[in-house]
Amino acid sequence: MERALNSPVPLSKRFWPVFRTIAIVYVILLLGQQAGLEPGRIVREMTDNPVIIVQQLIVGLANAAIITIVALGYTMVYGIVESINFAHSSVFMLTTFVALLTMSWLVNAETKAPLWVAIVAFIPAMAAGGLINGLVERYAYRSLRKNAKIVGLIAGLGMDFVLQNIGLQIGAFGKLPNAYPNVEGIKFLKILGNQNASPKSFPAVNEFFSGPGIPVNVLEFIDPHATLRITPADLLVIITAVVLVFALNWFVKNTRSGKAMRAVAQNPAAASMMGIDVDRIINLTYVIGGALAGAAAVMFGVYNGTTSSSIGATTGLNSFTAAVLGGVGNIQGAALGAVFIGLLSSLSDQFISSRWTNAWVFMTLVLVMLIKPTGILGTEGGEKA
Amino acid sequence: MAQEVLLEAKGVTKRFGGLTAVNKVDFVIYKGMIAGLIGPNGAGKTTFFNNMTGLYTPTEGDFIFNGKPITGLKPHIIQDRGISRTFQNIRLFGQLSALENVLVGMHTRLNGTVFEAFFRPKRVIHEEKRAREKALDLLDFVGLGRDSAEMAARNLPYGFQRRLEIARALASDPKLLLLDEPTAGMNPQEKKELTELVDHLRKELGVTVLLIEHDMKVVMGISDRVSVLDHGEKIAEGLPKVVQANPKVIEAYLGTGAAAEGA
Amino acid sequence: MKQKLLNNTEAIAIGFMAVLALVTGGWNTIVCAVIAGLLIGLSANQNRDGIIRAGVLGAIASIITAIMGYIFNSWVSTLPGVDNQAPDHLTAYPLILAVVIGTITSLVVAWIHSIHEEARRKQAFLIFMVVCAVIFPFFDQCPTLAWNGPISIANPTVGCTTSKALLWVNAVIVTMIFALQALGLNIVAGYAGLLDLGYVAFFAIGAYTMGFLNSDHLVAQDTFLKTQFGFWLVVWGSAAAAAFFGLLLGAPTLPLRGDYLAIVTLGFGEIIPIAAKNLAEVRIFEPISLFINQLFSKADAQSLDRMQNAEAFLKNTLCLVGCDPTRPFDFTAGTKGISPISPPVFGNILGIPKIYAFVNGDYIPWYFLALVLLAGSAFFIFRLRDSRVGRAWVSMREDELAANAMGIDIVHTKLLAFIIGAMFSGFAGAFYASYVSFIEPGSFAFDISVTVLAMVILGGTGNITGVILGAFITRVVDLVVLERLKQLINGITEKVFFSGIDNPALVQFVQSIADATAYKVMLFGLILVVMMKVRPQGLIPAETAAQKRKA
Repeated sequence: MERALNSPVPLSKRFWPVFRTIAIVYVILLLGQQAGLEPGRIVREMTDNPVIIVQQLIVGLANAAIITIVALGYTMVYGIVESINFAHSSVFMLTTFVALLTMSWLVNAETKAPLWVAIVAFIPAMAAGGLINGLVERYAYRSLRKNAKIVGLIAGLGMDFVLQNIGLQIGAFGKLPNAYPNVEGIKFLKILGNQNASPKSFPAVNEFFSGPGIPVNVLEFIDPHATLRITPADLLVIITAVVLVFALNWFVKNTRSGKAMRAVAQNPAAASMMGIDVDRIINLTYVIGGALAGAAAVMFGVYNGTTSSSIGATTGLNSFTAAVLGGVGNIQGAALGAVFIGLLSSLSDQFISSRWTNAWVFMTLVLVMLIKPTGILGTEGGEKA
Repeated sequence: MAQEVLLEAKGVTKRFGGLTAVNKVDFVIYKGMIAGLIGPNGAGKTTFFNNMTGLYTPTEGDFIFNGKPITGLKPHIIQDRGISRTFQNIRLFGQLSALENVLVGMHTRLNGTVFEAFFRPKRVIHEEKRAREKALDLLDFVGLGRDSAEMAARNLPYGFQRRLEIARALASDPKLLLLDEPTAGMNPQEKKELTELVDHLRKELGVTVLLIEHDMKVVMGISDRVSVLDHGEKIAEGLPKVVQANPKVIEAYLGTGAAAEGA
Repeated sequence: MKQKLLNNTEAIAIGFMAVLALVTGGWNTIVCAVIAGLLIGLSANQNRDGIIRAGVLGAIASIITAIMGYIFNSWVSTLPGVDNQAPDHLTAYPLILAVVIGTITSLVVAWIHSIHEEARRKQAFLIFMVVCAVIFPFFDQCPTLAWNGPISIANPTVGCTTSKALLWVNAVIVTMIFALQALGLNIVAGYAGLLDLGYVAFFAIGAYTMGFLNSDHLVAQDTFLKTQFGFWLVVWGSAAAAAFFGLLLGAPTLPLRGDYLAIVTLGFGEIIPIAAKNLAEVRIFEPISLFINQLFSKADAQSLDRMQNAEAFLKNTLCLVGCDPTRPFDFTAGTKGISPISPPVFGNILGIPKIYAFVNGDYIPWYFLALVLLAGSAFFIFRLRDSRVGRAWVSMREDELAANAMGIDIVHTKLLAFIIGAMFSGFAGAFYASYVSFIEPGSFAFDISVTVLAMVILGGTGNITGVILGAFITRVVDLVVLERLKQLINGITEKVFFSGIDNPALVQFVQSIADATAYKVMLFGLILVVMMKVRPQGLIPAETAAQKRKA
């Protein structure tokens, strides 16, 4: 901002940022071929199969619903303590196990489950998520708030490992029914399988997937044989997400605690002076974030049908990227970012290369951080002091 | 008094969202002067400093230092040009020794690169040696003494820490030294000693000083000229005695009506 | 005035080492005794009485460890599942040696510790460490100390009457590689305060550069470069490649805030192994011609070999890399890995005949090379800390704002730390590749980044000695303690609890739950959390000149 210079900026100097962007894009196109980024092929495949596009959009939206709920956990915590909770993805993973075990217990290890079982599973999953997050905040993070940020980050990383390992070892209990095959009470543990690290299947909620669905014949004029369906699963997942987002919004706007949360996010010192118990409010934020992760876990398990101790990573990456993309600390932003990431990942799975989808989501994250770190809906946070 | 202009601030304004912290401040500092900047709490003095040193970029207005504009430059570049500062709440490098703190202040005047750090050619050995000597001299100059050179900065007594900050700021041979409340928290004896140090600074090293202070006695005693900020605006400027008697200044500090009562 | 019988360090030394000896036994008893002696010596009073007392305590500690070792030899090693060392490892000879060496160690260390003049003390300690470091590999390769002729560096076991190599030396060499990485990460995280969670990426880059340029992999490719470039040249290339990627990654991302940087580096660390796995078949076309061509023809560029009109496609698109329809360019050899990677060779270049080539399995030359690499790096990094750049880093870590106000260009300084840190990791990776001779993407997983980070945190962010110490402790825990603990628990549970019960499924369950090695990740996580809560600076806090106590 050197306003004293009155001479016009030479053409070469103005052209440089443009040239640099073009050069970067070219290099990405050059190297991205290995990762499946071939625009010509992608465009051609898309135009050849418009029905698949729509199908993938629907899948993407359903996944986006799940990502939204997890992203809300990240974004709320970030909004209030300005730090990523690395352990969030592992809390999500653990709550999928809680959901899995609950459903299995309710149907006694059958492979099918009625709808009400899935709905009931929300309760213990959300409770567990809230509890874990709350305890972690209280005993691992709280005393570190006064230290440099990096200290809290490392502690979060450490908790992430601890929780991940717990998730892994829970799988060991799958062997217990083999040891005592006649004890009815522990039969439900069979669903954990025989290997700690292997994927575990949720009992299939058939009403989700075998229901009539909504045939979408929008593209009839292109391909009369196309049958597109929006299954009840898709719809339910999206509706649940929308309900949760609205509920959270309402909570933050209209309840005392919600307003206290916003106050602490804006200015902890002032909030404390107004009589708000900052520690308790921060803990509450973590608890809510954890509960949301639990809800997302149920949705994830029922929609995707499977879980394992390592699913936290991908969902975590997607959700965190969504939160950053939409603007950390912003509820609507998380939803918006999640839609984008959900669509991106499903389209990438189909058209680019499913091996590299994670890398492309990550690329998006990096680009957002570099270009507009405050995200789409984020506002400038104030001077970096 | 020397009349060569060292720093000029023209219409400097800084807004944070809806709050205007500094409002169209014009300011001139002449070479070799000790200028005082006072004003009630929240008047915008430190914000003005921060705008000058590049921590913030002014929303409007310009700073011209030694004839060249420095508005919007990054802090390390402004420091390189010759403006050094101390902080209101001491910001020393606590775990480093006093000597190392001063050496850090010399960063822009030294030329050691990474490769030279690995291989230590003669040039760098000499440079480091000279730098250390100079740092020790500075410690002596501010009254810290060479014995404290190896002590961790955070273990020094409060008064010494403030002096160390000044030594660190002087390490780069600045042309303009900004002191932000250098005597805060000191007892009268310490304040007297620090004031003498500042005076000594100007005489021995030829450094121009801009000083924020709350202690009237200190600032009036040492400044060649005093400027007063209130609510971000400059409301008075001139010789200490004149400014002290200015009713607007009294009002700013003591509230309306106090001036009328002839405080 | 009754003094405590044992001070804290001594108690810990004896206690821990006794447990360790119980769990490991055999020749490892000597190591336990030595460490106990070391700790006792370091915590001795700095006078004559202190030395004597240290000697006595050292003797006692060594005897205790020897007893523990004996228990291991006679009972623990008989438990099912416990790694039975060769029978001749379980004799009394190592136990006796343990007592002797342990006592001597405590005496010598206490004596060194009692030297009052600080500079001389440090010097003496350094000499002591050097002597130990030099003796160690020979002892390791010939522990019965029965030499029967001149020892040749090239093949030292020739002089050993019974080749009973202990083979600790292999683990030590790998630990030194990790320690080198920890030194590099210490610059990034310890000096500059940047949380890099993907440090393994630079290790991998260094390793793959060595693998690429110093093996038959490149020779087998369809290029004009049909030679191996030799270890000594490529190791610098590896460091340069790693440094280059450090620049590439760091330049855009370092201005980001700390947690964003952590995520970005985490991602980078994940992507590099994925790239290594998937870059076995590389074809690169010029993007614009590719776009046009693909838009109008039904071509999938990556499957050129299965394309019907490969010729026509190639005519229309400008192909840059891997253009032979039958053979894409094999960059990283994917999951099958690159092997064998040539070891360092003295000579064999520019007309000088081959003097000596390192041999896999002949550990002593490798050990000394690694030692030189590690010691040299530590030396240079030590110099770095005490320079203008080093001061810029630590002041930036202390207070970035104030450092900036003192003239330090923050972005530039952070980038420098990042690049230099990457460079050392590149060195480590290059050495590793040549040493193990076989690399594949799976060797470069996230847990290496975490392990190295744990080493830095455990050892004290910003402290060279501490970091190396942290490296050794971490590796010992990781490789030895957990493994042995698992075997021990398995053995005990099987023998004691299950001997009467016939329920293999239950045994499986208990073994799965009680498998100590399965809790490795949790242990690391707990170390991180606990260290942050208790002592964020690490075991040995960053030494600055200011913290030296005046006598």
